[in-house]
Amino acid sequence: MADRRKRYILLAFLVPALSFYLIFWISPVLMSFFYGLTNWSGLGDYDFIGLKNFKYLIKEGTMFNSLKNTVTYALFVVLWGNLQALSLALILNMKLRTKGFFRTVFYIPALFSTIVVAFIWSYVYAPHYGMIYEITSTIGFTKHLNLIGNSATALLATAFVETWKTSGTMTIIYLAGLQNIPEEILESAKIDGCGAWRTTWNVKIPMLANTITVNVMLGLIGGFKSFDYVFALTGGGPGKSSSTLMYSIYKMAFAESQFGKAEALAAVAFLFILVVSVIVLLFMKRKEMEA
Amino acid sequence: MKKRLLSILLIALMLFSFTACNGGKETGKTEDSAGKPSDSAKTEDTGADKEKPADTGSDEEVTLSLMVTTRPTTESKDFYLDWLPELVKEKYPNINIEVEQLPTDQYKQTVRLKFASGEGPDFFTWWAGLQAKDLVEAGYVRDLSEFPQLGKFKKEIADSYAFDGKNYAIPLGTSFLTTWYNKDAFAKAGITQLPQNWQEFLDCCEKLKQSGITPITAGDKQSFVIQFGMYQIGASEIYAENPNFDSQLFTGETKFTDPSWVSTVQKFADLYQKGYVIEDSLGLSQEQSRQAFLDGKAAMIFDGSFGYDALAKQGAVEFEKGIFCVPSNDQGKKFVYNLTPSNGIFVNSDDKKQDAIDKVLEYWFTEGTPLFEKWTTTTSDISCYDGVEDSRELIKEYLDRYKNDQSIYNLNNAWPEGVSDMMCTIFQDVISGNSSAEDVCKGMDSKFEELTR
Amino acid sequence: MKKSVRNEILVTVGIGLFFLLFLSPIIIALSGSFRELKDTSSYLKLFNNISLESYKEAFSKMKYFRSLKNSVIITCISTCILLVTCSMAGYAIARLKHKLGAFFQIFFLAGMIVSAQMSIIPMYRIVNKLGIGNTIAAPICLYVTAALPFSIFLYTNFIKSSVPVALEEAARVDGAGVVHTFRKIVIPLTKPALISIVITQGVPIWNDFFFGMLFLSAPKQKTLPLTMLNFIGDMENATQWNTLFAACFLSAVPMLMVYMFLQRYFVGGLTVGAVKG
Repeated sequence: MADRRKRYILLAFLVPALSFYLIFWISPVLMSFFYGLTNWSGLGDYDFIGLKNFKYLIKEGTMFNSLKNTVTYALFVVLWGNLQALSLALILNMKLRTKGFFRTVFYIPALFSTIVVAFIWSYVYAPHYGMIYEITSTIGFTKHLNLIGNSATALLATAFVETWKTSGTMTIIYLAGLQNIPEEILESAKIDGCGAWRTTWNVKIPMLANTITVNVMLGLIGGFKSFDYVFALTGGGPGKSSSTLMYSIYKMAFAESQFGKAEALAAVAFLFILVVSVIVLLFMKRKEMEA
Repeated sequence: MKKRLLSILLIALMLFSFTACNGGKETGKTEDSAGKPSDSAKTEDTGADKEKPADTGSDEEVTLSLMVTTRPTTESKDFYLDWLPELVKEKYPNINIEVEQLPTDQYKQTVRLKFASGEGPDFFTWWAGLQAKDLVEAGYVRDLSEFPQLGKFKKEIADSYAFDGKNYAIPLGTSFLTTWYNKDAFAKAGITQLPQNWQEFLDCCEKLKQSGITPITAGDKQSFVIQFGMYQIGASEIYAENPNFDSQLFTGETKFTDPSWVSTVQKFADLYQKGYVIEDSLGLSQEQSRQAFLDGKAAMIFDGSFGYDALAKQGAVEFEKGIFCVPSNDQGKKFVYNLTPSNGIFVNSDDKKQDAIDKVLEYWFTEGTPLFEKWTTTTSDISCYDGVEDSRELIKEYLDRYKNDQSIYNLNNAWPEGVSDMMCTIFQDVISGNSSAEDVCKGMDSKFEELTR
Repeated sequence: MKKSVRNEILVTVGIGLFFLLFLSPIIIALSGSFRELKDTSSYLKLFNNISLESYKEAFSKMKYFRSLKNSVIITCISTCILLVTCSMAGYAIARLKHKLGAFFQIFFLAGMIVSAQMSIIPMYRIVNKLGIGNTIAAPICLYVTAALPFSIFLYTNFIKSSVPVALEEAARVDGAGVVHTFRKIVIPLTKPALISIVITQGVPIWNDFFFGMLFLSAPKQKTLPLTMLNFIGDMENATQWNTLFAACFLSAVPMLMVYMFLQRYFVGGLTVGAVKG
């Protein structure tokens, strides 16, 4: 009897969160899947057009292009982001007198708003006026990097900004993982004659398996949902070279008033992110077991 | 550890209680914000009373929402943000105007969203031609054909907001896309006369380049800027031979893949391939590009009459500026220039507040009223109102120079929203050398077909 | 000993140089923000003149105090609602029967892959149907919702790993109900997780511009990041870097101050999320 009562109360506990979640998160998504089958412009009436939206998306190459860009972006964020954060964490974990100061400083980018970060970096990248341009001209180069205005580099230059901004968070997570490694293990590695390099590679990193999973998943999902920097830095350009899934959806819905088509792409994006995330998660968990 | 936890909780609690009571106040404020200005209004009530029409319902407090795109302000008071609400308030104490201002991209999106969810602004500025079509067709905006002052505006401009013979907006004026140039740099390069045809224009660029001056700067990172050059070139290239090109698009007689369009894009692309455009233009924003022009880093910039205030500023070097429209015509062929309705005031079709809106609009667009005076002296548009002349020398001279030539509106006025975007996006690829002029035209064509199917 | 000191100095200098490069965009922006408005010379001349002109300009353009107040209100209310809803749900999920709990946990976690851009127009319509369009309630509801998936996940895991069921059982034997147990035993024990949620979710809420851009249209409701949007160089609107940089710092200062005072909790907070999550 008491158990049943407890269960009802627990279920009641779920109600506030569940209502927020269902009203503002799940139902819009379901509604948008529905709109994906229509030619709604976002205004006025619409007709059902079946899978035509998907056909157009494939035909004009938007689907492939934005999937490709998103995957590239996410891969860069995961790989470079983790490499950067792990190295930072290893450095900050050294026994230095000044580490307190460094530990304060490195987190600063994470505190800025994405829009502010985008503004600052649009200055850094700007040709003729920007920081990189001025530095390279002071050194004496006459050929200049145009990272944001070049279709070969715009996407990665944008992704780099994301890793710069998120490095603080990722690094803290690694730091925590490093501090959780028992002192005795490191001691015994030392006794076994492991150098600093081998200790890092053979002892510390395997011990961080769980932490790596967390950071990879956070980076991956963040990368898949990337929007802010593309929005504020490149506008998806030059051409469509930095147009990610979320940005294409947004632009289609507003700049081109093809809401139905945008939602068709959203459905693709949703399934894609779901499937890839689950696969990566399972893969990481298995690796974790092995480590 | 415990102490620390305690202190942080205390801080959190303080923050919470601070905001909780603040939050309470705030919501209270927003709720009666409509009523609040009435106090100040009442004090002025007596003065303006006699001017009020004897309409019994007019005393009721009304708040009208107005949306406009962000525009540059050189003076301390902006027409939409400050003068309009203030002057209307003076005349009609019961009418409050709340103005919301957004940059163009966010503006388009927000207005649409608001209408789609039944919360459209009471009146707002929007663009002419097909860009307004979906708003009109969805029944969101009111037919203004009966608006008494409409006859005062140039008919062809007013008619660019007409659908099925009904006028849906009050035109705020016209503007044109043009090429700003550095007279001193031109003189230095030995150019004595403005180019009259495409070959002369290319020669002019070549001379500038030879004398070590970058001919053209362009903020191509913001892809909409591409339109500024494209529409100037397209004017002569497409419409000199066939003024009905746009209407024929819808009947299928013409296509974007027609030779005239391909050569328009090709001519524009040539400027890049010949190295006449500033290096790395794809990384520059429009503002940076304007700065480059003002700093003397390039001799020309494709911009518009709307850039008047921004380009009147002084950069790193001082020089004399002039404007001309790119002549894309071959020698001896006809020249067409760009002149387009800038935007118009549209009114929500929801009939709750029509009385108040009518009053405001009538006050605004009646010659001689203080509001009308302010509007005509502060606007960056070129007036299309009977008897009002632009006071800016450069613009007066420009319009006079081309008054006998044929003109064409911004080409995207004839297209469904989305086609111009496609054009700009693919043209960015042309600039980086990954696409051809044909690709641009094909892309526009398939987009056009998709949107009009 | 001497050698190790020298090594340490070398390493410190190396790291210092790296951080100088790493933070150079911020340093240059900071120096630029202190310039006179007219100074457009190279930004590499760091701190060549110190003036508050740009700050003054940015300050008035942003309507700073009003925006700051809006930001504080919206962030605090959202975070408080988030804490209440996610702790209740997280507790329920942790203590429900295994299968049901697991279902809800995955159900909520799946929300992490949803992005606001995917379904803006439906969201917009729902918000307006509920009659909270154009009020601060709209972004608040969405901030709470967007933060729920991760927060619930974190909180549930924390309870499972750090709150012994035995303790609750003991309380129950003493006659305490579920609500009482939750308030008096679970909440105090899960404070680290709650702090972690405040930090991991509060900072993004404070910094967000997307929901605000969609739902806060009246100028008097704008938050700090939203006022930044006005500085985007628009077709008809000139941008000035000095003012822009000043605006960047003005909008970041509150968060930087909070970080300075509560640094320890930032690090600690993120750690809970990571290791237990």
